[in-house]
Amino acid sequence: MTRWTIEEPVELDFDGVVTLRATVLSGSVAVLASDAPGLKPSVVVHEVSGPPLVIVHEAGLLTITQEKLVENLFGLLRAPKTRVEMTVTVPRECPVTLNLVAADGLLTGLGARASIKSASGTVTLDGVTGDVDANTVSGAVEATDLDGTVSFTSVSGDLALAGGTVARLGARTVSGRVTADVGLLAAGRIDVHSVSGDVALRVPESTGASVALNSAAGVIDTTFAGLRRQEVGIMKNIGGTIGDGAGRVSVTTVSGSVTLLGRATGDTSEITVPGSENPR
Amino acid sequence: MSPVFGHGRLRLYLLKLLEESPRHGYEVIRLLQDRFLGVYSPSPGTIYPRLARLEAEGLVTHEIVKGKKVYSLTDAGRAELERRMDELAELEDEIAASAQQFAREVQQDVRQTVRSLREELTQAARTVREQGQKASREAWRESSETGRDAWRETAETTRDAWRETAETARDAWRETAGSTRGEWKRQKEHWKEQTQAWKEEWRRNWEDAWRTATGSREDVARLKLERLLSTFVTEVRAEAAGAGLAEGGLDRARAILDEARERLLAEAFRRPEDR
Repeated sequence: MTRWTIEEPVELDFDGVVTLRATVLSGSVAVLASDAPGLKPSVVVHEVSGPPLVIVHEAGLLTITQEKLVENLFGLLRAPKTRVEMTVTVPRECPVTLNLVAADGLLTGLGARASIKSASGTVTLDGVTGDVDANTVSGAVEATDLDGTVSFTSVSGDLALAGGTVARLGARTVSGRVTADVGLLAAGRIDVHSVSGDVALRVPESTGASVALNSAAGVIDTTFAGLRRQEVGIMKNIGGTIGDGAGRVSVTTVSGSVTLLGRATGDTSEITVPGSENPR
Repeated sequence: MSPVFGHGRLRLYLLKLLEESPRHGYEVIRLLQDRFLGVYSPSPGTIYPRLARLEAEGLVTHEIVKGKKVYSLTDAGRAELERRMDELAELEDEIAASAQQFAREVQQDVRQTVRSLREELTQAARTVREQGQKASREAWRESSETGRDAWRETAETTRDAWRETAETARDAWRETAGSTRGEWKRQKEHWKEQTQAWKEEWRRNWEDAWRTATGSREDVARLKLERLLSTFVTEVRAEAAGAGLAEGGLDRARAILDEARERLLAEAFRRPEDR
């Protein structure tokens, strides 16, 4: 076991990292996953203020925490003095666990499982192909090109997914907004539950799925012509089957609006950005 | 957070890559991965909007070759690159040690992509809503106009036809009333079931949301356990679907599951008396 206590900016290289677990109170953590030859797993600490950072490397498990975490958590609430900024590089197939309190997290290129907990920090994901499990209180999760399984739980944090093809997308939130523009694998599932958060989904028009969009007080809309609208008591519902009906898209809200849009096949590879044609 | 490269370090590098030779988007992405030792692996969602932006500014142009957009530098782009030659040299020096900055660029790009996606979908939702209202209004107007003319013509014939049919209808009604009542009853049953199912689902959602937000530690733990179990089942099912399963394998699977359950009981769960 090797252990470092870090109080100033430093760069560390490691041989053989198979799992990463990092806990950070405030600041930012970037995890870059890559299998490029000649690239060693490393931790680059750009800034430490407040309590020192403790890094432990033992049997392939790399653990990064801050000293006296619990005491500092309360200290943080009183006076936000602690701050860490660091960049970690790991192999692509290295499962990553991030526990963030007020820190922002970035995760890119990972091919293994990512498990993220955040209280108020924003989590950014890019090109993660492993399963993603994110739990936040008010922190947002923003992601581009995720493939695989995404599970998201928040109280008021937003979820936004742009691009990628998912086997399963599960999202539960109280008041967070859920926005996703994704493809669905054959027999894939999208399950969104929200109390007051708005839900906007866009899937390719060729998607095959059984659809159930439910809301009590929210507005429900879809561009898929084959779906039927029903009202039972106060419950509104749009349901039916699109394509071959192999997958499933289900959205349930109490007062959030629900929109299911179809993306014309053909413009899957390029996400058009409004405003990019005429720069503001 | 101060952007270290201000606006457009990646942008400059894109110009450089296109100056070397015309390339299509995927090639640019691959080259970026190579040159940055894979530390930075940009996604199409990062690169394509940037190329589009450069094109809007007149620095690059594209032509379609074999169905793919091949981008190349314009004269304006070349001039821009020459003007920023020093900056480019500096950039290349820093590349090896600049993981942090790239992390920031990725973050900004993702943020921007996500923000524009959100705008786009919100706008699309609004359009759908408006179109829906307009379509139904127009359909109504159309049908009411054609309806008025048609009405006059048909009114007379209808009146005769009505008289005729009224009588036959009365008989038919008597016949069908019985069966209709049955149909109605079935429909009502169906609705009842539907409503029941929805209510059930709602209750579950609420309970979950409520527990996640406010529940005691144990409630949350139980909820998580539920989730673990269900993901386990889904995953195993998916894997089993891809593999062959013989009689012997089934027995073995049962033994493993039994063992797993016993271990969970012995190692993971606390017994009531331990609390």
